[in-house]
Amino acid sequence: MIQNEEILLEVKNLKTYYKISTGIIKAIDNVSFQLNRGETLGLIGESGCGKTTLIKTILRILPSNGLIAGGIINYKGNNILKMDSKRINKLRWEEISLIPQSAMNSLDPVYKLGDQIVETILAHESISKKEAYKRSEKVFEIVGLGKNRLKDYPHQYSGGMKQRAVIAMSLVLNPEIIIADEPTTALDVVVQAQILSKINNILENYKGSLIMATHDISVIAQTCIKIAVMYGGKIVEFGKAQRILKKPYHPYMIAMKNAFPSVIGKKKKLISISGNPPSLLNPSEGCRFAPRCPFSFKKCLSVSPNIYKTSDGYVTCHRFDEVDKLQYYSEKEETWIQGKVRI
Amino acid sequence: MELIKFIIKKRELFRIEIIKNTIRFLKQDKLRMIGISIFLFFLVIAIFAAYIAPYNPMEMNFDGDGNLKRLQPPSKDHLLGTTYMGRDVFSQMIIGSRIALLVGILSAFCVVFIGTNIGLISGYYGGKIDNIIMRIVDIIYGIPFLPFALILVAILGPGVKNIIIAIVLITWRNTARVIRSQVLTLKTRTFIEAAKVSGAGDLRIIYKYIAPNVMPLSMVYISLTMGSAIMTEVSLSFLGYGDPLLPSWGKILYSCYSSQAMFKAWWWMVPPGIAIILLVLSGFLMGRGLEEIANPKLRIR
Amino acid sequence: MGSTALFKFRENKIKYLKAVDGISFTIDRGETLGLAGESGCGKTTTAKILLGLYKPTQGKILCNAMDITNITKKELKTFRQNAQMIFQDPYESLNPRFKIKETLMEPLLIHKIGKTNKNRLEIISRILNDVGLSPARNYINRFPHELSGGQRQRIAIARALIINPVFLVADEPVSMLDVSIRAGILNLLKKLIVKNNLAGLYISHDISFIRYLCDRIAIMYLGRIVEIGRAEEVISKRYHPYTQVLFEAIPSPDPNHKINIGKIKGGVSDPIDLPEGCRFHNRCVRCMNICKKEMPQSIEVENNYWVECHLYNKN
Repeated sequence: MIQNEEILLEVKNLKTYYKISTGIIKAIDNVSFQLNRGETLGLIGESGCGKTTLIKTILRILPSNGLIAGGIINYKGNNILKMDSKRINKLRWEEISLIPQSAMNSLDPVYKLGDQIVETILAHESISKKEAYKRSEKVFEIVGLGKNRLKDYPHQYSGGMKQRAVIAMSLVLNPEIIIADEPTTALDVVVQAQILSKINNILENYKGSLIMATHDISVIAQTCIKIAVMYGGKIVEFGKAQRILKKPYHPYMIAMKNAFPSVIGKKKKLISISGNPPSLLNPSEGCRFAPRCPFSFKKCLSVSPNIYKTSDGYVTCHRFDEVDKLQYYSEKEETWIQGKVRI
Repeated sequence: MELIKFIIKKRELFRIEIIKNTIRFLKQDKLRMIGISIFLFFLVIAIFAAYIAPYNPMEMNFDGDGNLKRLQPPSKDHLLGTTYMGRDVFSQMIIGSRIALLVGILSAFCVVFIGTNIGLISGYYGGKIDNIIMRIVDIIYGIPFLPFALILVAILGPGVKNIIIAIVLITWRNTARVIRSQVLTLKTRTFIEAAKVSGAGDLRIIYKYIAPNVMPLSMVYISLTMGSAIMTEVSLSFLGYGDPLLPSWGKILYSCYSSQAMFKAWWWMVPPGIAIILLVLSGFLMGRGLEEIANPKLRIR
Repeated sequence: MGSTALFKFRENKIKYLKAVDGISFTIDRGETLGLAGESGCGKTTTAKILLGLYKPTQGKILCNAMDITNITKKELKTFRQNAQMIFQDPYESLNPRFKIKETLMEPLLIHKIGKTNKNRLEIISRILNDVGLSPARNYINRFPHELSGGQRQRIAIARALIINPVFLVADEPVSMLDVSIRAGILNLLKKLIVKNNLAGLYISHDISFIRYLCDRIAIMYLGRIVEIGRAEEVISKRYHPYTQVLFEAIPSPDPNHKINIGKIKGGVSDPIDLPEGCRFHNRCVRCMNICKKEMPQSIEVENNYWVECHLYNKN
């Protein structure tokens, strides 16, 4: 896969807040990253970290109480946040398409798959119905579904097939970027493996770019070149997947590595992080991970960490310069037990 | 034994928590407030009826000259005028509210009590028990209500008690069916399975776990049934099958009709009509308002 | 106690839809068996049968040498004191209208444990401590919706263990929890199973967690156990072709280790419409003629390590 250095998507200092009766939820707070053509970016984080909000902000499909409080999103140099609704409608699906979470439930149960895909195409392009149908046959072929399946209804599909159908729908207008929100979470492991293989296949052949949001490190390891680790509405670490998965810098990512058991290699001890993900309602100014971080000290709780550039990206941690020491201690179980060891 | 202890304990809970939350909750929906206000208005009147009514409702009133005050329009002495027999309409209305509410509330509680329990048992146990009970419900659904009530009252004799019996014997069918379908969805929920795994017996699960979750729906049916029970009493009384001694609103309409005064003495015909409409409406508004508790999706955010 | 078999569970069939079709296994006290397989393989049905929520069409379940397959209601209640379960959904397995105190009080009341209310509250405090929720007074008057998923699952564990069972079934206990929370719950389960010398059955489709928690692993496919043996051995030896496919499909967090999924075709068959012979033959790369006609028998390939596959037929 040849990676062009052309920047497709550039997000700078993005802030999205939700207004509720008791205050403001800072769902995304000052997030920046960039996606080049042909790149696959993984957004990793748990529930409440802001991944889904980020995706919704890029596609401008936030609910009514969501407001974009700052920043820019440049797609091919044009700020998405300043586009009018006509332009946005063109952007969605033609340039950036989405495979939503629980995609299988987003298929209309009373229409045949073929009709649904054709309708999507015709909503954007003025070609004949026959041509649109031909194109749907083509995308079905790409994802490994037979053409005759277009005449079936969603309930006649298995889980894996529905997921493929939804992926096919996201390809049908040849978008530049596909955003996938937890695409394989509800699937069995064998089906998941088949789908991930297919995704890799498609990306290779069509030189598309992908943003994949998931909480499963392994899924990202299989498909993504770059990773953005999200926690508490911020990106705490950004860089090459290869490096981050082997030697993460940020304590949260280090902890995540410890939380994933592996079937390969030696059986290792599972170390858990105490505490819960932070509430984003009127959050503190300090590092969002500090309350759970075994390496935190007073400064971490009150001062937001700077962005330190690394060889392949950046990390936001006050103790970044001591990263080797942190990595050494993180392997020891006692470090993670609450009642912090002063490191 | 434990079940009784449990019910007593729950009663305590009702007092403290419900009062606080309910008042706050009630204020949210205007229509619901209106329904409750109307209902409370009539309730207060019914409770204090004996003190409010200026005359004995069955007493024939004579004027100073010894003439019967027949069909007199509203005046200072008789706020809603008099009937053909010289009786004070206003007093009849006041005392009549007692019948309306008695029939309404008592029927509603009995109907919902029976219906809910049957729905709980039928829905929870399923199988043969469910089949038998639902067949019975189907048969009862086939029985037309008013003819049945007429026949029953003809056999047992007119009277408030028998009217209530007639209402209860048939109307429980609706509540039973609805509660049963609620139970069917509830019993598959995981926390019910978890209760079984913990060793909870059937009765415990039905009354401690499932019943509290169907209560909101039962409350809705209490309100709705009250409205329909009052209408039934009115219908029966209007047809002449009401209690001969008590001045229910339906009876007032009946008297008015049989005296052929319907289009002559509006003060005799209109008040009961309006009162009936208002009370039945209040039942409906309250029921609709309570439905929000039963179905959280309807809640105003 | 010791090495007596705690559960024998044989030849269990359910009519029409053979959710579970002829499985046998034993679990000793202090041992945890992991039941792995994809959706529709029958693992959850197995759990529910073991706990008396479904009745097996055929077969026997022995607990502590007592046959519990056909027992009276009273005996069932006693059995329920010995066998408990943790469910997958921490949001649904707790009664939303009960405070935590009531939820934990229920098993005590049902089985008449604890002489006074004060006594029972002490037991509740103790168990909350054991599951890591202390001080107890911060939790007993809360409702489930006020707690996080991880906390709710801990309550579920407390509820299961408060009556001191000997057998614990955990059905995908962490699959609905955030990743960083999972390890904590699993570590807790591990600690408690060892501490109380329980026989455990851990059901999951996520094999990596099974490995972490279990001594033995059973792989299920369409209602049958195709491979069962010591955990580390099953993971490394993988006799059955389905086991091989299953393990190869598991994505690794190591980006250099990409999945190689060429070796399987098609999806899992519909359990209502099962193929003749071996259930897996229509997807198996090593399918032989006999596989299409005859259901393979369970073969002991090593000491207490069984595989159901014609490839290992001694004849």
